[in-house]
Amino acid sequence: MNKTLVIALAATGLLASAAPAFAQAANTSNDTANGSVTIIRPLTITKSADLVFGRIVEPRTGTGTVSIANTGNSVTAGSGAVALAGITTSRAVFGVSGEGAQVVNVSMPATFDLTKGADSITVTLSPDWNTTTNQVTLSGALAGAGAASLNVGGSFNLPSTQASGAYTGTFTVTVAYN
Amino acid sequence: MIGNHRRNSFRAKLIGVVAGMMLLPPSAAVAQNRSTEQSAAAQGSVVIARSVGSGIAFNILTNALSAVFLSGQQGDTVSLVLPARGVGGQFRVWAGAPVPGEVLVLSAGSYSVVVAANPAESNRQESAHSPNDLLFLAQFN
Repeated sequence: MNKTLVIALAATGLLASAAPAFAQAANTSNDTANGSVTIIRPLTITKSADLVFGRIVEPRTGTGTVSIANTGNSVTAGSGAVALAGITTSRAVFGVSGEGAQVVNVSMPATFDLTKGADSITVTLSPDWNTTTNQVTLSGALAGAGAASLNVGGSFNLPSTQASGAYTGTFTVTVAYN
Repeated sequence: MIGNHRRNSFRAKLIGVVAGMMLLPPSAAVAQNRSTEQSAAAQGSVVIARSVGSGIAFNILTNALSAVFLSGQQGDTVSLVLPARGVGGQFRVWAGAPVPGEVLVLSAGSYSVVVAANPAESNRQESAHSPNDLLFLAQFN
């Protein structure tokens, strides 16, 4: 009788001690997470051509116009202004290189000044990329090199009162991965 | 007691704000952007020149060319094709002094080259009746 009770109590004890173990096993769940990283090449931009308007003869009266398209290197002058030959003119050209197929944000001022002492000429820049999004997509595909060419033309008004001489100025184009 | 509680609450908020600023994600984002941005500058240039021109002074009474004019700006150089002596030596060209060569440097915005009779020749009047004898070309360099 006593032995039976002891055995029964022992069995109950075993069950009681085993129960938490079973409960623990039933509440354990496993899952896996994936690790990933995309390594991309550094972004670089290099200027390969400046914005050169060459020699322009100002109009005798009124205001002339001078422009270089972003698709070519020829200067167009009108309304009395005359573009002279003899100096190689060009639009500004930048080369961008980085990871293929990546979207790059491009920023550039809308205008910049050409100056000669206290005199200045404001040039309106005309880039060949979408100025609404200000983004370009590099050529190629991911895991390969990509590149893009940025072309910038410009235009300005030339009044007959503009002081003659050589004017210079600089503008900066900045690119960053989107 | 209430004052201490408010003070402690304020300190806790202040510490929280400072800690938040130290861990501010945007600062990390800005730093990241800067490290991935690349820039390049291009130079723009233009040379503005005044309009230039040339003209002549022609005496309709004597039917003779008396001067040619150049209009530009001081310092302009002009390649000039103008015979120092006309055909048969009927006249000579003066630019303040006889034109020394084919290139002139303008000393003023308006520059005249005098075509004068050659004192050694007496038949200028007759020769001046043939203005086609004079070749005049001016090219601003």
